[in-house]
Amino acid sequence: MARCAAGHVPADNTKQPVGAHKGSVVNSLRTPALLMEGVSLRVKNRLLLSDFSLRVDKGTFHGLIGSNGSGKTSVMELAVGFRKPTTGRIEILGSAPTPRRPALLRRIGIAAQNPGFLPRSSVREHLLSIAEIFGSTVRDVDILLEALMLEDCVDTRVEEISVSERQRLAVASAVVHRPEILFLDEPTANLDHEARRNLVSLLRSSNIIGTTTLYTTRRLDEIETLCDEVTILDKPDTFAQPRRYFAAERAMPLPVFGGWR
Amino acid sequence: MSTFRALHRALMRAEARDLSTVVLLLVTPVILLVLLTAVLGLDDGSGSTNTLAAGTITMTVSFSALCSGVTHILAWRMNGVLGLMRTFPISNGALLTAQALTGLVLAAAQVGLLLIIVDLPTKGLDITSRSSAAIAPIVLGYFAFFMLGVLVANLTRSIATSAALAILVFALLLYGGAVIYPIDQLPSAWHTLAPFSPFYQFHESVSVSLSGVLDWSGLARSLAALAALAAVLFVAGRTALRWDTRSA
Repeated sequence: MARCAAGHVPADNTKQPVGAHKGSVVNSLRTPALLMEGVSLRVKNRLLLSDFSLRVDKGTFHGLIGSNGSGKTSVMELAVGFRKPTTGRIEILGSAPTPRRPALLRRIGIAAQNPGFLPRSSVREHLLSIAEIFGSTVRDVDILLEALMLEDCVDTRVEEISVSERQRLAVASAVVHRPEILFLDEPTANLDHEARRNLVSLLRSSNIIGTTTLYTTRRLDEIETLCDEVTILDKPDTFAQPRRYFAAERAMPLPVFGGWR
Repeated sequence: MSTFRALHRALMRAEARDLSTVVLLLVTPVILLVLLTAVLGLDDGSGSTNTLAAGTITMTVSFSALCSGVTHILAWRMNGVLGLMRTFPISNGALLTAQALTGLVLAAAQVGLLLIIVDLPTKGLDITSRSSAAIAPIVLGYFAFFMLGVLVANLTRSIATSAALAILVFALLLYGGAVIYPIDQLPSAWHTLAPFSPFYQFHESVSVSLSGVLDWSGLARSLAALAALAAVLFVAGRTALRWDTRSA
């Protein structure tokens, strides 16, 4: 992952404003899909994030990479309004994510690390219900089931599917209503090579149709393949201090999944 | 299809497939009422069976609703469903109402079956068109107790604590609502407090509806009180709903 080397990282980035990387002039003209400014998060006297800033422009695929406990999930939860920041400002699609707003949630897709599913539903029923709940067309359901290799378990109850299938179904549930912005928290953690490649291909396709994506991962190759921009979260001795911010070029062209248009 | 309808349909499917709970909900009150009717010999057509039926309906519907409120929130929290629902474009109140309506369908089946089964062997139950007035208090009563269950589930973190608290609340309301003893035989302070128990208003309005001699003004008063209690509990349940999926 040479692309992640310090050459792309501003030399003194400790006080670097968000978006101050190459291409920042262009970026400053764009409307951000997600903006986090000076965000801190303290939970039970533990500082999980300190003065964190992030700008994700519309239509970009933004990677969030870091080790365990570096605060990736906290950033994701703050961005979608699952947590309230201790200090700082967050804006998603032009609105504050808290308090909870159903109209805003309709425009967002979220795949959590430990996903939940509608109880006692089959895989297909679950996905159809999610599409209906979001007021979306159900025509993408079969395409997604095929793209994520879930055809073999469409009639299986969600309680009985494997960990890998659960993870793929969670991603399908997050994208089935074609959200404007997509949050994916380590969606490939339990996938084998083929499933991972299919998922990455689908995500690439969704990005091509304009979905902004914030993607957390520990895999550098996915960052290389998918991301337009990357934020690295470090965890020094006491708390997360995410500062390094750089632009990466996509390395490897992937086939765009045909049905997802 | 609207978000609310789609969610209600998904929840209804989950509920209907939980066969053990459905069977337990439908069979238990019937067995209870048939046994009580047989043991007490209330088949003389004097209306005693109606009184007993009203008490049994109040007890079973309120207990089912309270348990439903508690168990659904706790189960959703534990199996990650609450985390999923948090992402749905629907308000807290609409989400809880969708589940309450789902349970209400079961409660309606519970009451219907109960009345039919009891009426068939004993013929002691006097059901007239006026008895349909019991539908409104059953709906409001179910809703109020469901929201009370939601409150209990959000005050506690473990199943054991929730179950204990739910039983405690149920027992307090049952005694406080003067359902166990006739209110005339209770201390005077009880007369003032009892109307604030959802049990009291629920029991009163179902009893009045099934008594055969329908007192419309009494029913309207009980219904208004029950509706006010249900509204307060709805606002409290909606506000108290915690979305975090961590549990003890």
